[in-house]
Amino acid sequence: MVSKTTTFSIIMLLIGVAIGVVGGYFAGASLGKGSVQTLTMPITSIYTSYLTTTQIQTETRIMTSQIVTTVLTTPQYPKTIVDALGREIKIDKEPMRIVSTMPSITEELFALGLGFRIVGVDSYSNYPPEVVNLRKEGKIADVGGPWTLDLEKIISLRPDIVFLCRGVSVHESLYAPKLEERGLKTVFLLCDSAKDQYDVYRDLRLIAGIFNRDDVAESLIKTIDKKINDVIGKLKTQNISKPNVLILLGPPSWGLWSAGGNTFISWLITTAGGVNIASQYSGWPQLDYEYILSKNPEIIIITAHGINMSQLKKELEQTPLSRTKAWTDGKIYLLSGDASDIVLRPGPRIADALDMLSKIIHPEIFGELSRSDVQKILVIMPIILIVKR
Amino acid sequence: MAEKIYYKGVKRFVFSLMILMILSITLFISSLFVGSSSINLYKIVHMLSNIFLNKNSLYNDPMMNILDLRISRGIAAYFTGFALGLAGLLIQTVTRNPLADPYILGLSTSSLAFVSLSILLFPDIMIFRWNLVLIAFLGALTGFFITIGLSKLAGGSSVAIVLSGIAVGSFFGGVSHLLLYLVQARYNIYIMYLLTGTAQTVLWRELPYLIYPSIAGVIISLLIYKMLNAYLYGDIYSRQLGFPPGVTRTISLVITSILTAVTISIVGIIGFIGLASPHITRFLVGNDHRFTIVLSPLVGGVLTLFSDISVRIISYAYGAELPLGVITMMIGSPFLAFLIIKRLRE
Amino acid sequence: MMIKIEDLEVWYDSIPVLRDVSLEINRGDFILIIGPNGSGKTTLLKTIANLVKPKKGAVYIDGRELNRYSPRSLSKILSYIDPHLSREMPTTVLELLMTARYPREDLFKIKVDKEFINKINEVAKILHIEHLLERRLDQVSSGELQRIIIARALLQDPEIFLVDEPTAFLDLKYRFEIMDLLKKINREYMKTMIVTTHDLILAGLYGEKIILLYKGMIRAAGDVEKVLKKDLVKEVYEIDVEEIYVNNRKILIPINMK
Repeated sequence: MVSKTTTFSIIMLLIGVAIGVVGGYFAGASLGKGSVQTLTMPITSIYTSYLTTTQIQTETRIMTSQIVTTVLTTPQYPKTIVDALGREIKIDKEPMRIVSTMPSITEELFALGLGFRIVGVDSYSNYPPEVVNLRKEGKIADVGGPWTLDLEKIISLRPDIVFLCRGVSVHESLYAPKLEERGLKTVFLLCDSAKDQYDVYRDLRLIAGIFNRDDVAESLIKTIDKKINDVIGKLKTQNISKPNVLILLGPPSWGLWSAGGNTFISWLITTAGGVNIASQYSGWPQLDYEYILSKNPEIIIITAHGINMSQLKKELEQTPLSRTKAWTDGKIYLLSGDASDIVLRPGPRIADALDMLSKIIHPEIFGELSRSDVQKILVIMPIILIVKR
Repeated sequence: MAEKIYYKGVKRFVFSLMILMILSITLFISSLFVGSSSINLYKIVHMLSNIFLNKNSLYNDPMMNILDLRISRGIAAYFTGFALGLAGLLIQTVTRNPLADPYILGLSTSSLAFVSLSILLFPDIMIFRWNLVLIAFLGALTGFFITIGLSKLAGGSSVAIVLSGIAVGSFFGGVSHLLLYLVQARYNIYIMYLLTGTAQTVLWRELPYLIYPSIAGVIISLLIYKMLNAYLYGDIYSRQLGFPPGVTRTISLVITSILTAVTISIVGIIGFIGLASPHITRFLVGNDHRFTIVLSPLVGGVLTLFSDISVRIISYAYGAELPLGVITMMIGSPFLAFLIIKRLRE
Repeated sequence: MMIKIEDLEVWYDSIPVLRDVSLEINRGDFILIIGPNGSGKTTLLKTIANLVKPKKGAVYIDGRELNRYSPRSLSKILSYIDPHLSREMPTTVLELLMTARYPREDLFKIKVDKEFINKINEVAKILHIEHLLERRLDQVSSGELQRIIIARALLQDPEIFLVDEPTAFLDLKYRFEIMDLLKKINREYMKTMIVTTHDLILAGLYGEKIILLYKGMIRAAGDVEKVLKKDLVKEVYEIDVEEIYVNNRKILIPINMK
């Protein structure tokens, strides 16, 4: 009796294993061809910065590089760097395969000429535009959203280094420990925790330091810094009044989420010559209409993707925001698409962000902003305007 | 007549046990194949023979790493269901309520509240996963103790436990909502993800804390199966049969709370498994705890592992990793509705 | 198995439910405890079963006070048959009956003796519940449930049976059947039976030693002649009765009808 049971169980066990193998194989195979990547091929990286003034100028820098399959050991490796979490990280050799998990990191990598080494980006990374194409062509893998990474994908790419963001809870508590357990090197950057341009420079320098491209970083920083200082300088020379600015992350119906004084956007507003009405708060407060009306902003900036202007206008009409000076003066701006990305991502385009905001806040000094993805609300009070002219 | 019925029951148990064990192995092996990358069979065999090597380093072959990821994930998912299956069974017995689940003791929301509070006070704590796990665990137990204390004030009966659990759970639910909002507003940290449950990021060194208490829980529960059986029929019945109901309650609740707290802190809040596994088990083998204590964890393990495999498939299609806790609830809600209707009909 | 109750006083919260209760019960006695609702019958039974703790006084079994017995050893000696069994979980009759063996078995024993299962058959036959074994407890009638819980007590096989209102929900026919059965167990197996009832007629028909409880105190104790008296009944139950004799047994018939 006992041996019968044992034989029976063993047979059932084998059947179970067989079913598991067959079933699993088909289940796995049906998932498509996320096959493990081989080494990347030469890629031309184009970094483009759009500066809009009264005449549109594009400044293009083209870098073509080829990766070498043998790793050059410079006397500077191994080196130790300190990342944004304060961890000391030992870099044994120059990392060749990079995974970026946040759009701003992707921009920074490309700006430093490291774009060709990227093997994986998050699904929201879309700048420079070639990132989108490279992803489509399969030359760069999509590793999921910044908050919903696919660790398996990341591992299959055999990266030498994975960049994560400080302040992103799942990066710090979930993904980094697991990736480290699998032996992958993770480096944290400040990303959205950046408070001003110097934090962005810190990130750029940190990345450059890992790849011995400090000179590239320094020249990039110099360029950005000059542009920023130009704006600051211009504002200083003119004795201007600083208008109250309200920035809303999303239309009012998403909640009146604004940016507090210790955020990057607030720094942008202040540097562009405005006063962020939410600056007395820290973090990302939700305001109420009473407060907004008491501050009576003269300019309202709304960042959102996928909202159209007439929809927004209708919505605003119904809210107390239509009683602000911004509404009366018609100074309500909707930033969508790329414009929204530029303003919300502390990265190499902060100078462009500052440029945009300075044109919005002080068009009398910097000129009007003319971009397809920045729309000014049309408040129709034609008769009065005509008369005024 | 009685022997016929009895041995029929025993046979059903043996049969169910075998099916569940086979299902467990089948699912586990299938899970090795499922993920966003494709892996071939040879690698899997090779991997399994080297399974306990080098837990903390990169294998030369990324496929090995991926396999390692899938194995740890599969084990985490399975034993989460295993623990919740037992916890759910015990809580349903203790409260004499077939619709109870382990979270009615107020553990999940108190855990969430504690984690949010600690992040609010020390935002850097997120870096130290081990600390967060510990805080989540202590938070869960705190909620449990408050519930028990409250229930004792209310007389200590099974009804008192349920009501106290609801009160404590709601209180901490409100508190954690507030705290989550504050954390979001202050630091722009969205931490719901931390507790909606995922098996993907469970570390190997955390798995023993999931596995050993679960197995210990099954063994201890089996030892007191008679107390549990007697307890079903009332406090008076249990006592006059020689088993003080308070002892049964204490032992069961300790096991339930520890197992639930462990799953919350390591994997997150996985709904429905604690409710459904005992139901399915009772449907298979009836109410004798000799059988249900053994089977309910297995049912839970199978359900959760299956859900995790589904998560991998859905996430691949959708492009982003979905939380396990959400999928189990989605699969579960229709089943729960069916159960409620069936029960009310009778 | 002698039960001695001395100066028992039991309170529920701040209400006295039993006072000054003293009595002796010998092995093999058939005791009927009667009295109106609220007189403390159930409480007395529960106190003997150690389910309720007295405020004053004590219950002694074989000279040893109740609280000196461990719950387990007590469960081998007595069984309290609870009419309010919890039926919230979907258990079956057989599953309930299977628990009856616990007091006599080792706590950790997992296997079930074949003997016991045979015993279940026997007892099920005696109580006419064979066809109910696979039924769920919440799907049997109250009369069937009554027989089931008595069957369970039989299987537990204690020395003392504490039966709380066994005839409350039964059809007339079954009332007599149950009382006959209890009498039979008492006689054939020398088991001590302590039964509460509010049915005066049954008390007359079956009573050997009767205890009349009134407002928590023993109003009268003794045989049928001594206890079932018109004036006592009038005082305690507040009804008029007529004494009649059937088969040499005294029966009280209420005659309050106008």
